[in-house]
Amino acid sequence: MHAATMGEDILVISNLNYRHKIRKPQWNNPWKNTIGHGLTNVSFNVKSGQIIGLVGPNGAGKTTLLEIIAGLHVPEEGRVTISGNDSTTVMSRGFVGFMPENVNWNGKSTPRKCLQRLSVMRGCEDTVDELLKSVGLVERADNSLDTLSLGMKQRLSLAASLMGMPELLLLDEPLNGLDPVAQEALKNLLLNLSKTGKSVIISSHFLSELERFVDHIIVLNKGSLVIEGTIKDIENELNLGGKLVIEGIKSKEIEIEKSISELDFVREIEYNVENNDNEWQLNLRHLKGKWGIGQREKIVEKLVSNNCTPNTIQLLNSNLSQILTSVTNVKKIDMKIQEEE
Amino acid sequence: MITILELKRIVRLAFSEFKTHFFSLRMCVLFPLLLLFILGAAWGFSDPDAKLPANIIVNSSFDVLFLTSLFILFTATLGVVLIGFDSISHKRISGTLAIELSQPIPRWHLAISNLIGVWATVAIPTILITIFATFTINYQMNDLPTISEFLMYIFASCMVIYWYTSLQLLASCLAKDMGSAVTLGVGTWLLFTMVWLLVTIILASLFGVDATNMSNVEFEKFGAKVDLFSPNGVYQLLLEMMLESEDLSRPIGKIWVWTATFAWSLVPTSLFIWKYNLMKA
Repeated sequence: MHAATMGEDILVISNLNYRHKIRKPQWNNPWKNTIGHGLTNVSFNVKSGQIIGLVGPNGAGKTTLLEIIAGLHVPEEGRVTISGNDSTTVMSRGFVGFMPENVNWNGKSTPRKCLQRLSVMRGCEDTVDELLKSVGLVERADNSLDTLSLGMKQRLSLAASLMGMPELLLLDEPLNGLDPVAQEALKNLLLNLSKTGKSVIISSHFLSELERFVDHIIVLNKGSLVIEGTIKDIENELNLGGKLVIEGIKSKEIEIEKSISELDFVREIEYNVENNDNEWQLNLRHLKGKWGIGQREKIVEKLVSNNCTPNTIQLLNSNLSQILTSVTNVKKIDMKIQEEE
Repeated sequence: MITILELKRIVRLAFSEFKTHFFSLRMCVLFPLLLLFILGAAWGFSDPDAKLPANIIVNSSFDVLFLTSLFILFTATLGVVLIGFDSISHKRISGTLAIELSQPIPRWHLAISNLIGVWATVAIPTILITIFATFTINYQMNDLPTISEFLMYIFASCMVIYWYTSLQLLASCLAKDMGSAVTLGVGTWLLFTMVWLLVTIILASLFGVDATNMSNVEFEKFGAKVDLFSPNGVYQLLLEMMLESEDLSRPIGKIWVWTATFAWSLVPTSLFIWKYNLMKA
């Protein structure tokens, strides 16, 4: 096995297609399967040292993609190669460390014994203590798995994925159950690994946390890769530059609309009125995605000249959440509890 | 084929599996049961004053061991079912199977280590208790089985435990949840242990063999043939080959018994490894 050098492609996925087969037994065919969700025509590369954020709504195919890279499923079409080895080979699994989502470590066994068993499989038995130390589980190393908290179980899964210092780490929702200190530690650990040329693909719904340390994102939706690139590139591509939020009082909507329509560089995205039409909020975006010098002042001047009273003006940068909403068209989910009549 | 290093790794993984099962709560229940049934049966059957049912006459220490084998069929095989039913399904449900399957080790190595680990959990205590049982028989009857008889007894007992282990692990692979795994395992055990005679009688009736009198030679021959398709039956036939008494042994060629032994060792294991290779975490 050779370790990939910095910047070299560690993972190459080309035209990957995979559909889950769901068992649907019938009286005349107990082994009947139906075709479920999966992945359609996914292609991307990961270079060594990259930290990739894998985002997408529920059921987008993130876990399936990670499992295919980890060698748990065989692609129906296309190719997944890790350091030049097909993902279905034993050799390729030596390059990959996989942390599945929410592993429920339980039973009388201990974190040390679990890691020792995995270390036998990887052939690196002398690294167990070091791993326990790196994830902060030394003090609980010989305690029963049943006594571990959710966060500790997550750390144990992380230690399992780090076994043998693989070239490519696949982390499925690693931030679940971690306290803020542990989240920070994970972030630092991943950044340090990245500096040593290890690549990481991290799937998470904690978008605000994710965008603090990933340098590249991949957005999946309904099994397809919707967009990929750095956050900056995607912002530019989707024209999601900074959002300007202006709040004011006692103004008529027609006056505000008139002010905005007179500005050729502005795109209005939202207008909200609150407190009996007394307070308003205007969300604006630049037509070209980026606000120029003096343009914000021009907006305020226009509003004032049209008898509007703006109070505050704030520039909000786009975030992963906005990117996700923009490219997947996922609307807000309104969860209501039905009231008793 | 397989290197020494890989073999060592399989053995180490099997040992870790064995330790997990051997020191489990289930084993605390199973071990006394094995002890009471096997040792108790050996003690009872070898008692010179004991009056055995169905006019069974015990002439030698191996006859006692042969009768004691009935209790191995009840306890050791059920033990394997109870120890092994969640060996794979539990890992699958908890998510640790995904971690194990993503390690750089051929899946069949993992499957074999699982098989050996679960098998050894029941086979080792059974062998040890059988050794004690042999001494108990010697104490009561002042007679020891010959080396070949004893080795055959241990071999057959280990094989029947192995067959049930492979069947149970196959069930655990097929089942998506632990309930289904235990149902499949116990169902198979019930079929071969409790219902097999009924299956034999139905088949005998279908093939025109008189099943109203079970002691007639024709039915005995037919029953022996049907028993080749049951792990319990093959176990009994293997032991019957060593019996001197014609009352207890049935008329069937040794070649058939050995062929069935080979088939039972190969087919469920191959199916289990095949299924394990295709398994999704």
